Amino acid sequence: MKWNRRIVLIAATLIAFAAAAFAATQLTVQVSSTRIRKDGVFWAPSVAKVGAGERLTELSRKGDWIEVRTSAGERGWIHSTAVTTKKVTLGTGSSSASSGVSADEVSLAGKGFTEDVEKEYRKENADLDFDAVDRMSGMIVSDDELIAFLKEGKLAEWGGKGR
Amino acid sequence: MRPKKRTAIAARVGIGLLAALIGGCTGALTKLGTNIAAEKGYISEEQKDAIVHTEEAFRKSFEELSEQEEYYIGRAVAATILSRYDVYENEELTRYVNRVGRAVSLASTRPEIYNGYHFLLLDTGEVNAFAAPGGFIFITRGMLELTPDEESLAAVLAHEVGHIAGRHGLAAIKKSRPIEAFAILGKEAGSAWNRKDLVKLTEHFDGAVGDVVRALIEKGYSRSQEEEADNSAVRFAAGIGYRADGLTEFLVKMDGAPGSSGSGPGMLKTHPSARDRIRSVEETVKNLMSEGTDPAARNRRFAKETAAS
Repeated sequence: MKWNRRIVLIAATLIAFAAAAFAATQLTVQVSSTRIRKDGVFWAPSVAKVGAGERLTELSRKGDWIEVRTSAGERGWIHSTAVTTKKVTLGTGSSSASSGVSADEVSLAGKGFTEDVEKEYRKENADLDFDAVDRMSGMIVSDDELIAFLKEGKLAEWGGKGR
Repeated sequence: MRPKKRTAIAARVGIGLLAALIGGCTGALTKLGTNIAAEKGYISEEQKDAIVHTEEAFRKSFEELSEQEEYYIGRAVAATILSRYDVYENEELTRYVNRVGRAVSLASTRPEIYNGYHFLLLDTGEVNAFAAPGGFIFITRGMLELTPDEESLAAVLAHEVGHIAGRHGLAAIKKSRPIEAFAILGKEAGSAWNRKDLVKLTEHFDGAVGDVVRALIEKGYSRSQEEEADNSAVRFAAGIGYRADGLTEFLVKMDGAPGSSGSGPGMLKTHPSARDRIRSVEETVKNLMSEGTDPAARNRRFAKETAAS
C-alpha cells in the first residue's frame, strides 16, 4: 500500500475513534442555579443542585427535558433551557482562558456585561435603586410552595384532566 | 505532483480533519483555514488576526448575549423602572403574584432563566406592566385592580413572560452595540480587565440599557411582538391549566376602562387597542379552551388574596 493511502487510512481510523469518544454530548449549565430532577417535570423531587458552568453528560431526551449525568455520577432530568451545548471558559483570570478562545466559549466567560460592568455602571448612575432589585431577586417561590399552590388551584397534574 | 508532496498533503488533510473534529466547532475550521492561509503566505499575520477577531465579533449580536449578560442588562433596566415608580409594599399580595407568575412561567418556552422570574407590584394607578430582560416583571396596582380573577392575572403575567421568552427587550438594543462591545471582548479575551476597555464596555452597557428602557416605557414593542406575547400568554396560561380566555376577559375589562382610547399613559399608549388584541388571540383561545381546569378554587383564592389590597 502506498504511503499516502496508508496515512489517509490511519487518519480515518483516528477520526472514527475520536467520533466515538466525543459521541456523548456534553452540556453546560447556563443558569445560576437549578435542580436535576427525578422526572421531566418541575414538580418532581430534586436529585441534585447544579450551578452555572457545571458540565453534564446527555443520556437521552424526552420533549423539552434532557436526561443527564453529573460529574459526581448523579442521574436525572433537566429542562433544555437550563443548559447549552456551548463550551465554557471560566471567569476572568482563569488559567483555562486563552487568547485563542472562540466566540462560543467567550459567551459564557466572565467577560462581557457582568458584575464588573454593573459596578462601573452604578458609579455613574447612583440614583438607580439596585437595592430594590436585590430585594426583588430575593423573592423565590420554593418547590414546596409551588406544589401546594398548584394543588390548591387544581392546576397542572392536579387539575383532574390527566395532565 | 511528486509522491513525497502528495504524502505531505494527505497527512495535512488527515491531521486537519482530526483537529477540526476535536475542535468541534466552525470557529476551529475558520482558524485552521486562516492559519494555513497565513502559513502559505497568502495573507499576513496581521490579516490572520483580523479575520479571526472579526469572525468572533460578528457572531456576537444581541441574540447571542449569554443568560448572565441578559440578567445584568435586566438588573439595570429594573433599577431604572424602580427609580421612576414606587414599590407597592404588600408582602402577601406580592408573594401571591409571584406564585401565579412562577406557575405560568413553567409552561412557557423559557421556564429556566439565569436567575429565575421575579414579580413586583408598582404603586401607581396607571394601567401598565413591564418585562425587563433577565426575568424582572413589574405590574402596577392599576393593572392588578383591572384583573377580575386569577385566570386574567395569570394571562397578564404570562404576556410579560412571553416578552422575555421572545427576548423582545434585547431585540430593542441597537445591533451595533453588542458587536462593538464584543469586538473589545474578542481582542481582550482571557486577559485581566483593562481599565480603558471596562469603561468602554460600560458605555455600551449604558447604551443597551437605554435602548431597552425606551422600548419598555416610551415607545413600546412592535405590533407583531405584542401579538406574539398575547398568543404566548394564552398558550402558557392554558399550558399549566388556566382557562384560555383569561386574557380576553382582561382585555374586555380594559376596553371599558377610562382612557382606553389610547391617549392615556402606560400600556394604553404603548399597546395595540384591546379590540385588536382580542381579535389576534381569538383562534388560539378557541383551540385551547378545553385545556382549562375548574377555576372555582382559584376564584376563591384570588378573592381572598386581593381583598385587602
